[in-house]
Amino acid sequence: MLIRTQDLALGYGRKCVLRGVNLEVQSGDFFFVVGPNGSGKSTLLRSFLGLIEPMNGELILGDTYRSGARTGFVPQRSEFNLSLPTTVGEFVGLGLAGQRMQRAEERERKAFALNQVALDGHEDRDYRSLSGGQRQRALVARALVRKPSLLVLDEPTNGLDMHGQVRLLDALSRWRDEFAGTAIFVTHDLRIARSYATRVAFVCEGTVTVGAASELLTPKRIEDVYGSEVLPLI
Amino acid sequence: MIEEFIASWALFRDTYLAGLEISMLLSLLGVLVVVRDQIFVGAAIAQAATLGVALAIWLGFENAVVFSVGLSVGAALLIGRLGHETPEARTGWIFLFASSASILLLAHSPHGLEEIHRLVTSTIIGATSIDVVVYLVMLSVLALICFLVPRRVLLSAIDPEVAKAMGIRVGAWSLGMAGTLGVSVGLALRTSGLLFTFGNLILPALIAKAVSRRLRTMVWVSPLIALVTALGGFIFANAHDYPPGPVVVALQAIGLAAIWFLRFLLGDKNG
Repeated sequence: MLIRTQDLALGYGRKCVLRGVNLEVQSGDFFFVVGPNGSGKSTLLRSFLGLIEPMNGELILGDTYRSGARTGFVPQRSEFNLSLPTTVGEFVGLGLAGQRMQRAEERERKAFALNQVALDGHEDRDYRSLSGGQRQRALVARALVRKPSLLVLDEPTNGLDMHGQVRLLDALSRWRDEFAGTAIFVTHDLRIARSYATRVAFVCEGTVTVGAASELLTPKRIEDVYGSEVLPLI
Repeated sequence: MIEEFIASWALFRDTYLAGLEISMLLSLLGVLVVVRDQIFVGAAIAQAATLGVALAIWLGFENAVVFSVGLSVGAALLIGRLGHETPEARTGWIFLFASSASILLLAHSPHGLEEIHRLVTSTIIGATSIDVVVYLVMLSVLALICFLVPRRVLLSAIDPEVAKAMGIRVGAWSLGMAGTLGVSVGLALRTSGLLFTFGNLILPALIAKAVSRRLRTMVWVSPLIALVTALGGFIFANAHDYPPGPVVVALQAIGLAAIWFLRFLLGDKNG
């Protein structure tokens, strides 16, 4: 078990956003969190990262992940101020903050991470000259450079074209197979969740339902939550 | 010009050394202020330190260091704390409140207003050998932290949420940095005045940002620029009998404008 919650309640201040959350993320999972805007997906994700404290209930993290040392986080968008000077290599290297290693290993890790997101050869390039999609991939590389066992990704396919989305998710699938990694995704793209998820958490109206994608992402449920007009898009 | 400066060394040794150390110390802290895009923070904290001096004079205390450091640390912590208002809003409030309150406190004390005027215009003359040692220790400690764990320092400043998710104790780092900024600005203000303090906090870091390709380069380029411009400014001020603080800041400001203009001519889209 990597993460387990029992009757977890989450919120901000006194406002409860999610309640009665019971779920388990197992090692090797591609765990997708889906649901409409404002339903609390990112709140759930932030609790896994220790960025918000539970209001109630229990959030149990496996020993290995409690310190954050083996966790990689890809936020929805980079907070990086684009007026600042940095290269792609330095930006990715920021993911090594808090880890000590020889320069040779550092170079090797950066090369590996950039290769995984198809940015090899861009290490010395000015980060600011990257396209939006390339910056998104650089964010993923910054998480992968830590050689994490758990990756937490908040809408990582934002800003990527369809080819880019598939390439990124295939790279993450390879990473999972090669390093026995676990990934938790927040996404709005139900097609991606259907194709890649080992399990899905459906967040809606303050509650979370967990199950296989085929059980949860049914046309009936999608119609109930999003309306019938979205069905042709799924 | 240089001979005259060397001749003046014996008389102004402590002033020059303290000035160079303050310049390098603040320029190193300035990198963190600039990467967080909180440039006005320096002015607000320096103004809070000025209010501390005004308060000390108003209350009749001879030694205003505790007041200036105390208020500048308080201001730095207040800007850094979480809350509903943005850091910019809190910064603006601190600057305006401290500016108006320091004038009002001493409005009926001509000697006090003179002291505030002296602090604003920056003279540096009056630094002691104790100042030289204190600033050297502070500079060494800060430089050691920045060179030993630059990524931790930079990531905590640039992307605190990601840093926290990685297990970095961002709260402790932010508190430490706010405290260091407050103490440094509070002490520097007493020795070198508001203009020199704010100028050295911001301008060398902005020059470093404009000429560097990497964040880590900024960390050593900024103090280097501060050292060169402060030394150049002191030499010029000594030769032409100008107050050294404003000369150094003017030199840095002209240097920054020249670099911006050069980048504009070269068509740098990131300039």
